[in-house]
Amino acid sequence: MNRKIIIENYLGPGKHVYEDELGFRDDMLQEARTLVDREAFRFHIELVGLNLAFYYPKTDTFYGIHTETLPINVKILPRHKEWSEYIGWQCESDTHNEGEIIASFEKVEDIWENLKIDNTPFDEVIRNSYITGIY
Amino acid sequence: MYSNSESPTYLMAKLNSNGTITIHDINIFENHKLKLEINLVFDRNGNIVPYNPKKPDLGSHAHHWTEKKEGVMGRDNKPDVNPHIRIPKEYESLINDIIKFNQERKELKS
Repeated sequence: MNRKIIIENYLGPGKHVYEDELGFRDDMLQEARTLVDREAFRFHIELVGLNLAFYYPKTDTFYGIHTETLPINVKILPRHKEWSEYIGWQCESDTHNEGEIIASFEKVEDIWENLKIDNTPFDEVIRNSYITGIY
Repeated sequence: MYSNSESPTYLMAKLNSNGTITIHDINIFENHKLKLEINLVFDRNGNIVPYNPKKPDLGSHAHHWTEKKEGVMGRDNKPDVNPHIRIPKEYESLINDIIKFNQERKELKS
């Protein structure tokens, strides 16, 4: 099977991110017992209360949704290009870290419908992002 | 690696770019259910950043987990209660061992 490379050499030479690894991956969907991104988000983030970190290739930026405190802040996660030449090693993907807040929500249930990044609805953003942490 | 014990303690680690691993979370189960999650924060020297009551999610802290619906455990994020609690004293010895382990910068064996 020819897999389309989306992020070349993400974690090092030959360690690419492929198109089929964008959005909620199989293990994440399986744990949420769904095949649908919206339901996976509802399970992991809204019900279990986990944080979400992801890399959005379109803006070349890491984002974090930190659900542990209210309001729930969506932020740009700190990136350290001096740490590595490879994108995947440049960010800790820890949503506890301080970063520029781009949106805030009082209710976790409001995020899916209302969050936009780069004027793009969140469902499209996450479908085209590489998830770097759900914890 | 998963345990068949009914009340295991799991150590969660991240892989670093140089092949070493850093343990940063402890998950404590009781009767197959996650009860307490400990998030460890380290400074540049690998020393623990203590609990900070004013900014509790920026220092090391813990979370209670409760049953959200049948069989599904979730982080206890009540809107009117600080979800970040001080790490119980009973885990001090384990945390000291983790600090030592992390500072030895062990490489992950494949």
